[in-house]
Amino acid sequence: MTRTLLLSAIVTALTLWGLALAAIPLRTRPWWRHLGTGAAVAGWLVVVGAILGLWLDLGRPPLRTLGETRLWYAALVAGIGLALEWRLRLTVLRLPMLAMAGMFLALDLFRPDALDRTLRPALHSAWFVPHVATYLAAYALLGLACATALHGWWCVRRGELPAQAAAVPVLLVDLGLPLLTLGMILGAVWAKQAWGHYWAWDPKETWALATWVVYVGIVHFTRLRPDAHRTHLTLIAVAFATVCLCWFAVQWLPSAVVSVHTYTSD
Amino acid sequence: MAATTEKTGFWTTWALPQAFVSGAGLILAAWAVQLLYPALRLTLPAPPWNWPVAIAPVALALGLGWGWPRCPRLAGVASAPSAIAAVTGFALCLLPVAIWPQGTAAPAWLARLGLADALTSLPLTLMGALVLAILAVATGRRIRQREPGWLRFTFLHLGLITVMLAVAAGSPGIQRGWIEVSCDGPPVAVARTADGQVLRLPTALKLQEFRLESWPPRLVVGKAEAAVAADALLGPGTAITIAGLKILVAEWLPAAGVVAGIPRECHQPGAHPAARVQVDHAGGSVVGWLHPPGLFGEGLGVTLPDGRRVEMEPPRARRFSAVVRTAARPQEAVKEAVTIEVNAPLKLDGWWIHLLAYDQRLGAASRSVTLEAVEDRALPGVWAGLALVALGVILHGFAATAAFRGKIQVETATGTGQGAPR
Repeated sequence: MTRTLLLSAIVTALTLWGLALAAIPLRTRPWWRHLGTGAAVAGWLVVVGAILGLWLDLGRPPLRTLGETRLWYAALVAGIGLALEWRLRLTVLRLPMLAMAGMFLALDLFRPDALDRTLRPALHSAWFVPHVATYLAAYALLGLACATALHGWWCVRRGELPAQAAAVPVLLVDLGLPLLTLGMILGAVWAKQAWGHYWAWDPKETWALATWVVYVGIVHFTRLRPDAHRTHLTLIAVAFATVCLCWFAVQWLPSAVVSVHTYTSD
Repeated sequence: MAATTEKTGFWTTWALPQAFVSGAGLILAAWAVQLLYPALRLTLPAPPWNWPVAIAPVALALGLGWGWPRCPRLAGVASAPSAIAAVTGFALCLLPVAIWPQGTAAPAWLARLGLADALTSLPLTLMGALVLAILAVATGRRIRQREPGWLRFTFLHLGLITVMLAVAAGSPGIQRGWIEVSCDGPPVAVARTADGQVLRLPTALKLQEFRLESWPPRLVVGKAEAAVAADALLGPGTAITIAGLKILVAEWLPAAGVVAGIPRECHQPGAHPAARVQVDHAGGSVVGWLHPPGLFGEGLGVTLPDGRRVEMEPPRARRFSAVVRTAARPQEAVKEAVTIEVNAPLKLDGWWIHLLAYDQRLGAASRSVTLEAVEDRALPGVWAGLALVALGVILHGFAATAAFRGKIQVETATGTGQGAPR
């Protein structure tokens, strides 16, 4: 897959998701509702196709660079969002889901990575895809939780918080935390296989643990005070900053000088 | 909450404020002890602290929770406020490690506060042990009481405890040593630990062959940080458009050495490829050789009239492996030759021999490698914990969404979810 083809796929997916977003205010009419859902699903299929094409072309899982993980992230946010929308008959997820997925996809449009076919020896492992994919699925759920929490706050500002808008962010965190746990253990077992250590206190690992700890606190708080909806929304929206820090921003921290985990531009 | 506190006094109820005050007190006390006794260095799950601080309290907590599930004090210890305060305290103790480099690289002001070695600090150790103990009490109670949803939470929490205990229990048994083996030296049957001790290995090792497989090189245009890398890897006949330049590989030498500024074929391990390229730019075209600097000659590139330079990156390692011969004793005959790779350690009588590094200066011509020998008998416990957590994730995914659907249906039907938010 050439860079032009990849960028075309991104533009197509963004256009389709834009159409799905435009259809949201009109979804009381069946025709618009079906058009919106069709456009959202079609956009998701285009992104999945782009990932598969990239995988085949690069000859390695496209999970190495920041841009590649953003592509997966957009696909997972949209895929998980659509699946939950269908299974739980949700109506509040469409706008935050498409906004979040579209934002990450747009970042790939404006900051494209070099299509680097190389993969470091340590990443030639059966653990690579399960570990990173589990983490990205957890991040997708937590990102969706943040977006729906912000949407919930918007509802609060308008004076009414529907049951779904209050409960969905909590559910998403509840589903994301176990995946975060699994991803962390998978990473530790992989490290043991590759280097003989489960954990090396690399800044990226430390932030992964800090992120996990923050969400453990939030999940327990939602069980302790199930009716404190506004606090839930605030905590869930703010907590996503730790995910972003762990994912993108570790390389800017003073501790990154000793990190072997940060994404590089190459 | 305020009304209750006024009526009953601060400490007669156990809720978030009490848990946070207790957690803060514990951290401050531990920090003070650490400042007074800087030599007190605890590292979980490393020995000797894994037993007294982690394994024994967690086993005890699990037993207490299981044995007295309805005890109010235990219920308080295992309550959500305690868990929230403990994980918040743990997160706070992690912050210095997460933000600043530790040890000798730590900033001076962090060292003055006694936080330059937060990983071995009493506060972090205590809060970590507290989190585990609370988790253990809660899990013990849950297994005994079997309230709705107990199975999925038991899988998740017991899995986590199993992983942590296996890591901690295996920790004192872990033996770790480094071995330098070479093609030219004698077989080596001992590994050296970080503190200089000698570990006897069940077999002697000798490097028979080092193999380095490299990716084809990439082409870069520009200077230092402003350099742009091409999407495609270089090879015979490659045509690339990059940064407004059309670059065609006219001649390709898969392994070359540079003699008097001209690349020549050189079939030696560690020799980089060379390419004669034609670079078409706005003002015409330039022809020249590209060769990355290495063992067999200097780097060659093409300089354009606008000052930009086209260069070839040194090929990156794709995978490397060491073929190692094993023998029962250094002086005995070779038993067999085995290959060790980064993600495929040699497993030998309970030891895992990992391939750590090779002589990067020599690249494929390296004649020595560094191996690491690790013995960890508790690894199956970690696998069991991983399996429990994975099972818990699947169960939780289905159960949580099903419970959510039921809850929303009830709230929508009764209207309890609508209205002014709290």
